[in-house]
Amino acid sequence: MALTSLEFAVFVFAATVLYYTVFSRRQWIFLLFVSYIYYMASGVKNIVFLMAVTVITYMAGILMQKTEDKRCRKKILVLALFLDFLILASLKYTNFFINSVNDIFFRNNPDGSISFLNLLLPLGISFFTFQSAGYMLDVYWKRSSAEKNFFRYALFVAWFPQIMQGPIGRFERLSEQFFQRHCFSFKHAERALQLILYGMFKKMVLADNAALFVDKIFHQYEIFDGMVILGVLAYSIQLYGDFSGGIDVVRGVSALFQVTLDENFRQPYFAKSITDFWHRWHITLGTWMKDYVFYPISLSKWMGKLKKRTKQIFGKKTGRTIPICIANIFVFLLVGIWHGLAWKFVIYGLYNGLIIGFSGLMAENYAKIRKTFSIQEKSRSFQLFQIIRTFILVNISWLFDMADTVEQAIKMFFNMFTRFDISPLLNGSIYMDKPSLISYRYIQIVAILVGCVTVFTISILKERGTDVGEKLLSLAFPIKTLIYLAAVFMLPMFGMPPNMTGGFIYAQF
Amino acid sequence: MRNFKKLKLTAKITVFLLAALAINSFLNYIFIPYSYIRVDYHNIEENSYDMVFVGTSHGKCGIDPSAIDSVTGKKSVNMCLGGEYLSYTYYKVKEICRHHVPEEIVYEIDGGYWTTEEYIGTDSCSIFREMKWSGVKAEFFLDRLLDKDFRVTLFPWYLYRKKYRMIPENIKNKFSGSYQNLATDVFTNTAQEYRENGFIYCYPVADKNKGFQNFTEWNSNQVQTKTEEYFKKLVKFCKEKEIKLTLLIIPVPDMTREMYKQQYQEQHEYFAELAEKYELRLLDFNYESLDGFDKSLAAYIDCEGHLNGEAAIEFSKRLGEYLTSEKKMP
Repeated sequence: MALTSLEFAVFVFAATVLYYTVFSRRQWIFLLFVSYIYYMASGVKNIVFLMAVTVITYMAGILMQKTEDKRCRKKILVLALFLDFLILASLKYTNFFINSVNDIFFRNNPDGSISFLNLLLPLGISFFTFQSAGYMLDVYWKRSSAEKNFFRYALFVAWFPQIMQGPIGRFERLSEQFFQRHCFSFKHAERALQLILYGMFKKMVLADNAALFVDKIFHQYEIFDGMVILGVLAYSIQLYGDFSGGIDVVRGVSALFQVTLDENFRQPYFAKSITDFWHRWHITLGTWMKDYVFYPISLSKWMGKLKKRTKQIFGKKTGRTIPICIANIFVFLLVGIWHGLAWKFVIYGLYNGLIIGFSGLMAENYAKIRKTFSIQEKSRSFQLFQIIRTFILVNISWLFDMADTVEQAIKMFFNMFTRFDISPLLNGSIYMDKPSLISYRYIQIVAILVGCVTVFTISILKERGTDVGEKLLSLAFPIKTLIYLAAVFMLPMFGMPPNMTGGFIYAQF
Repeated sequence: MRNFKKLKLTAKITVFLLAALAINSFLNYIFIPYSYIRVDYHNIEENSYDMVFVGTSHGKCGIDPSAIDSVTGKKSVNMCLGGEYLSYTYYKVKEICRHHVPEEIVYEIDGGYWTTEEYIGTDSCSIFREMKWSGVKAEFFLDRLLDKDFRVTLFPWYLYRKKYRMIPENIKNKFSGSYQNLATDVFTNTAQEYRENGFIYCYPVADKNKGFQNFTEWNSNQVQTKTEEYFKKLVKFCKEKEIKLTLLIIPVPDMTREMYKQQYQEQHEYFAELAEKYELRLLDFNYESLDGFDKSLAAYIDCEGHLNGEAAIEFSKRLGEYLTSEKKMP
């Protein structure tokens, strides 16, 4: 059931009405029921994996809570994490391994190669695996206590708005909201609908229009080799519009039931460094990695020993920074692999990790340079420089994310500096194989520009601390109506059909 | 006080919804063109037919019911439509049978719609929109449209927004009464004309302007499971209603068949097997000499196999003979 489908809209509407009326005294049970109905709509077989992860992690939580024996708790945790990630890895990465084995051993003898397995990739498996793993680690570290009621826990794993593409929730924060009684309020509903509308706008007007350019430029990069800069900028727009738009929609849907999901994006393209970027982009994955990977690694015994060694060799400050850099590189390597098991994602992860690590090591030198040239860190021009620099670095990383192979990404990277030719866009030859789009490309460009200006303005207001949604609520009814109507009708007027652009990118994770 | 607040809120929501409805209706009015599908539906609502042709654009401009009727002595209608996938054909057949059950349904096949993934275009959407409200339409909606993008159903004009240059003509057609009176002269243009009983008569095209615009090579491995499912449904439905179902493939130019010889052979084998499995008659005119029928490019308006008007009339007469005589295909 796609987020943009009519059946999803009908499903959410019906569920909301029933939630506040018929099931007002059993709201969380109803939410669990609705979540499983939604999940089953994606394929009844998929439910097996969701149930397996729920049962494994629930049992692990209960068993860890029952025992005080540290070794025993650790064994339970390791076993449960192993099973949890085994399901994810076997479904997501088996064919990658088969491909690698075939590449290494059967390159000259394709007849002997191993056939690919026809594996299911259940909806949102990465998200609910990470979410349940985080829960187990919290119980293990006694940050939270295990949920005794299996069904309450099952709701946390299966909560339908977030199961498809996150955000990755935390049990403590969500459970508080799930099990409270909520009464309908128009204000809440309007805020929720605002979020849904804004998310749809970002997806349909911005992302889907940019997607057509991205598709052409990246998949025919040898023909459109002079348009790499345009392609990568379009991908920046597409990815942000698609992912943050999707998150806004699911946050809006969840808010209809008065369950607030964590924010996943905070104006990421205003980031002043790559570290800052990852504090603003896919925030819940970043904090998950920080809490459950980065800290355990950087506070581990072997890292302590390494820190001592590096302090002896490189001195106090640098010595202290090196282990942090290593932990960061490891974290981003994982982030890369989370996107998919391919060399391009490994490079993508390492690229981010190395920049963050290097920035950490060079922080003092940068400060010295700034002092030497009397650069005010808080001056507007320097901040603008930082934002543009980070945006360029991020765009380079997108090359590895979007290109099919590392080789393609490198070729495109060099083409960025050696070739520039946007004539295919101007004369329409970019759509040679889709002639119906040739005359439409100007409207497409206008749609992207209108979308960018709208999102940019809202982002600036948000960056300055304005609650845009609240501001909109307080406007006079006729003005508010005009704004809402304009946004609603822009979706069909400027949006591209899904068969041309595909669904949400992160819904495949 | 509280009640007044609630009333005010309800009034505001109502105003908002009414404004949205008014804008939407206006956009539907100016963007959605008057289409001959409306006339096609009107034909089946008002008349009873012995034979109904359903299928794609090849059928729409390749089958002239008048020419067929002159041979068979029966009454037939052409209900084919360009861009039509089998799932839509299935519901169209159900709609036809809601008004009158014909003796025979001839399903014209374009292999491209069997091997590509179904999408909603302007034509397929109009099959649904122009259908009168009934159980069939409700079933059609639940089965084929509910899971699609909400814009297709809530904002039907959305599929036509690229054709904004047509707005003046759309307004003219609706304002002049052509739309209300089901006038067919408005469908005549420099390329074609709409004739009685649903046939589109295409004017000849110079050979140099002929090409492949929407051609899909046949590949048996790419046949969509969904299409096969709907084919089964169609067969079952026809059996239940005791309708004779015949499969028809209109010939493509010899040049095209030579160019994609293997693909056409594979396509023929696939449909021959399917016809045998379901005990249906298959008329694949790519494998029939048609005694002197001109299959050179001159008889077509493109290389994909859309016949020009005169060739279509000639072909229809031959088809009529086959349909009457139960002549076996080789």
